[in-house]
Amino acid sequence: MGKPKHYRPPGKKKEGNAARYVTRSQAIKILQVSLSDFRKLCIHKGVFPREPKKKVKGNHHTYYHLKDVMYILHDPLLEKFREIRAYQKKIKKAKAKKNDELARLLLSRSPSYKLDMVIRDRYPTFVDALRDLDDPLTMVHLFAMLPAIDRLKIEPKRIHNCRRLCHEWQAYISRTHKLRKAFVAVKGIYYQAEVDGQNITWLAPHARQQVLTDDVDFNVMLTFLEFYEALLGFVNFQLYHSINVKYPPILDPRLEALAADLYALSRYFDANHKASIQVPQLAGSSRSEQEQESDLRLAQLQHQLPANEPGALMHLVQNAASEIEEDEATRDCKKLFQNKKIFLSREVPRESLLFVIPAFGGIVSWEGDGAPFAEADDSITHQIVDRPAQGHVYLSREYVQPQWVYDCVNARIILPTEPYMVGRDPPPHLSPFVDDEAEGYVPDYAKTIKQLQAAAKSDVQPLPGMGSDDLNNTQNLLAEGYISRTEAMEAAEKKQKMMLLEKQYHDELKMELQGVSTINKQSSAVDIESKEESLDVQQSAIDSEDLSTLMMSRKKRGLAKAIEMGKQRKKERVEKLKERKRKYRSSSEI
Amino acid sequence: MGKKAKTSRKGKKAWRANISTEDIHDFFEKSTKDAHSGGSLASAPTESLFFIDKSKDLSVKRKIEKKREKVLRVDSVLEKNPFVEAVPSSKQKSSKKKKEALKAKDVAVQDVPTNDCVPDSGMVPLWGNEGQHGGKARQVSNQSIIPAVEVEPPGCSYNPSFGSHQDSLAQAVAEEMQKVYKNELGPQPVPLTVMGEVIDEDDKYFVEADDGSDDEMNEENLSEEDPATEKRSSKTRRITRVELNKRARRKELQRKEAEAKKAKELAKDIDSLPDILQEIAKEDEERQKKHLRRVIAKQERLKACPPRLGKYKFQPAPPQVLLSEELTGSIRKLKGCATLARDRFKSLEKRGLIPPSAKSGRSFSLRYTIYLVQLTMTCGFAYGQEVERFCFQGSLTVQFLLLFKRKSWNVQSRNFSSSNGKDEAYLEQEAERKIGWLLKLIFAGTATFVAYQFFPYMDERRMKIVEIGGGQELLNMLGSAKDERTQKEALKALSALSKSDEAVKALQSAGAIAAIKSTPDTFQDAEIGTYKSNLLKRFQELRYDISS
Repeated sequence: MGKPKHYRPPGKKKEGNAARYVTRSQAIKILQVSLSDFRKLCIHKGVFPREPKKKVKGNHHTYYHLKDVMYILHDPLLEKFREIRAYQKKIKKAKAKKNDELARLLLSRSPSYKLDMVIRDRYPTFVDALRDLDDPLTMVHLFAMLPAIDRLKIEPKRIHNCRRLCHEWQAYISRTHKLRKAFVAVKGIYYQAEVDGQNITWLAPHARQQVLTDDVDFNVMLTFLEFYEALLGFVNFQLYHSINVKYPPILDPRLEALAADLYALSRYFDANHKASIQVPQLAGSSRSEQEQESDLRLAQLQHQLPANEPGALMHLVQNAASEIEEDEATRDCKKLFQNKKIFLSREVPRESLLFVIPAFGGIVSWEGDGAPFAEADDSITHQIVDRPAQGHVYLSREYVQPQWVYDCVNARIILPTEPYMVGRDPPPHLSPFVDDEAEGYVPDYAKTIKQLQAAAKSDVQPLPGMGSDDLNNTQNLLAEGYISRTEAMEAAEKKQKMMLLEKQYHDELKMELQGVSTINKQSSAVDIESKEESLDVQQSAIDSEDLSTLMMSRKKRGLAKAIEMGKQRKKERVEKLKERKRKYRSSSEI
Repeated sequence: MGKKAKTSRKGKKAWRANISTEDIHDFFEKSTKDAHSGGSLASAPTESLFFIDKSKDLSVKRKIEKKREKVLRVDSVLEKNPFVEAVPSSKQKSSKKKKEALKAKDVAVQDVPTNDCVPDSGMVPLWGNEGQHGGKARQVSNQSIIPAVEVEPPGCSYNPSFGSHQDSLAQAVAEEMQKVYKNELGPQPVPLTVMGEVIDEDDKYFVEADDGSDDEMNEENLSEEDPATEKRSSKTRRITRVELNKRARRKELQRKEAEAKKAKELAKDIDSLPDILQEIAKEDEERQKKHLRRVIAKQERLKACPPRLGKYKFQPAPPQVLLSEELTGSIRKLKGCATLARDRFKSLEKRGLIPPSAKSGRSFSLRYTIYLVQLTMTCGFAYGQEVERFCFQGSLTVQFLLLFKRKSWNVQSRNFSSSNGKDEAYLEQEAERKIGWLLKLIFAGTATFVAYQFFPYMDERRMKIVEIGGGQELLNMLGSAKDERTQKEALKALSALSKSDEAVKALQSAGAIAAIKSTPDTFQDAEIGTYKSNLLKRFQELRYDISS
């Protein structure tokens, strides 16, 4: 037999991948912890397996970078884990000796660990934490829906904590009108909010029974959840402080008991603001409506509110600043459902709508105890129902299906309620996460929405000094212009062509002017030449592209090619879709 | 003075005069000297030699402090200015102070009592008030390019537009079909039973004998060759000069020939230089293209799945699309995804945060499933619809079991006829092993029967079953059945089907009459007889020739 493949003479140091990467079992040996502890540490510290170029130990191992392992080694958390393990042994021993009292005593004093330093280490700035919030939010929202099962060690306490964190987050988003998109999919409802310039997307499951399958390792999930809970807690803390609200919010126990946490939270916000600010302007119109009802609650909440004046002044200043900070999108969102009073029927997804509607400035109530106003309220403008037929109908309000709310939110205008009436099949619910323009294919309903948006825009800002006819005309023009960008792009292309032609023509003219005195007969030649010139222009464009590709590294060139291929594929897909639609149309006509 | 008389040099005295006594003298001299100066130093104790001078001693601590007190000139210059804070020369531990300062700031901003600032949850503002704490970020290099929350395509909306829905559906179906094709095109599994007769002991001997003779033959062949080689190697011959010369000449000739050939070839190559250049260019281009393809493929792969991180390959979860008949347009009636936990877990795997695990979707024992099926058979109606639907799909095999499992748990994603091809294949195999075809067929028959007891007025559906091949299958089952129970079930199902005229017609054309007639009458089970007579009567009613 010859040398083994990765032979290293004795006394020579390891090099390359052999030195840089260790397998999981080696890492455990280095760290001197059990496998489960190692897994936990990895998740908490954000150390994940890697794929080395050359797998020295074989293909079926999991590899970690040695630096990562050292990073764990130098963390105080490791020591803490060892301590906990030692302590667990003590408890076990006491139990084995039937010394129940000692066991209980030990159990009550068992050491625990905190993750705040780890979080601080992993996310040095708040923006970093926000950037990474997608996964935590989705996970926490998911666990808020899961059943508590002893077998999988999912404790009710944690589920409650998850619910609390979710509601706190939603209350903040809704309060500050940061929600941007909502998409009801089969999996659940996708939301996107914009906080501090970061787009945060998360998925909240539908309010249905979730099934826990065996192929999911809940130990891993719960460890991730542990970290995410801590992270979300700190993020909420920071966010609440940024709007001057005390963080662990104290909620009205009555509302909490009725599982109306979100509403209780919004009340809490109101109360906090009212106490600290003399001029309650923040919440706009919704405040005046809610004030009367919240007075009673306020009296109860008063005891926990600070009342010194200089602080209030500070608040005022800060609030003014934050008011200025609000960007245009937020203002838009705030105004969407302004002056709308919406009532939710029993069968609609309450949690989601209670979150979405206030986020866009609407006032909302529901059927049940603790609701702000009852169904019989005359000032209700819309009622959300999701049943085949509505029995008793108030004429003063419109009955719409829940999809209307989501579509309005995504389109940022109040859509006509007619297609969403009770008993009708609503128009398709389009994904706001798809960039139609980039995709190239615009569904029909998106086109109508675009038209409506254009109309709304021109309604709001009529151009001065124009007759109504003109206005209509411009509206039409605008609408046409907005129909789709693909067409616009085509137009642009045409324009470019025209420009090119024009240029060519000018060139020709110039040439002619130059040549007219000297050579008259060569006009045909000039013509050819100018054509060549125009060709030259194109050629030069291509050349410049080539040059840029030449300048790129090999890898980048590959990427560029990949992008181009992707574009090509997309275009083909669009063509296919169009074709399919045409076929479908023709077949349905027949 | 007269000279001393010369003495003999060889005498005793002369020898004595020659011995040097200097060292002895030296010693005496030294000792006397020492005695005069007060004893030898070597023998003196250390204490007497050295002493600690305590006349000018400062305590060490004081000394260090003295040094500390020394103020650098730069500092002293700065210190004189009351508006400038002195810069400490070394970093000081000030975490406590900083925390306090932060707290103080919070108090100022928040205007709440200090004990409220650190609430019962023990939280402190982690990132300060500006959202920064000035630490260094750890470089995390292996962040996946896959986003944490992937938004589903628009076709997965609960109420999608036609085009996008078709698109997503097509994608899902394509994925399923890919699995199926992979199964079909993959290597055949090793059969559990080998066809052919069992060889008994006596035959075995013959077989072995045959083999043995073959071996011998081979050996003989080998041995025939061997002596020849041995002979050649052992034979040594004298090489004559003539022979050597001949060899040299021959060698020379060969060399010349080779040279000529080489030159010729070279000339040819030079002539075809442009061709070669072209070839090289082409090769280069091809290589580059190959590289490009690889890069692109890698990019695509990384977008879809993580690098290989462990023993097992990542397997993506099926997409969640509603079937066309499941589109309701109402959130209330929406059949949402119930396995979001799995979805999240898969996402973690997909982003490479954890190595993929081996566990597949089905860890549920088959026995339990069968039990469930029987349970549903007995309690019937709740699942009647499912049974009917299943029959509609026309798969009269063990998929039935799967369907039941899927429906009753709602675990499986969507009901494409094979939601997870591999698993199903596996399960089917297991079913074969455990309960055999017989039981399976009984289930199938019962299923059809149950379905058509509950839905007696659906002629076209019955027809559909026959069309799809259910009738044929039942007939096959009837023909091949070896025990009475199977026959009974098959007949039951057929009589349920026979309520529709078209179905009867189709059955007749499939050769049902002969099959039914050939079923032996038994005395133990009267039901078989009744079913048979029922069926035949049915055929008679529709004027089919029974006797044929």
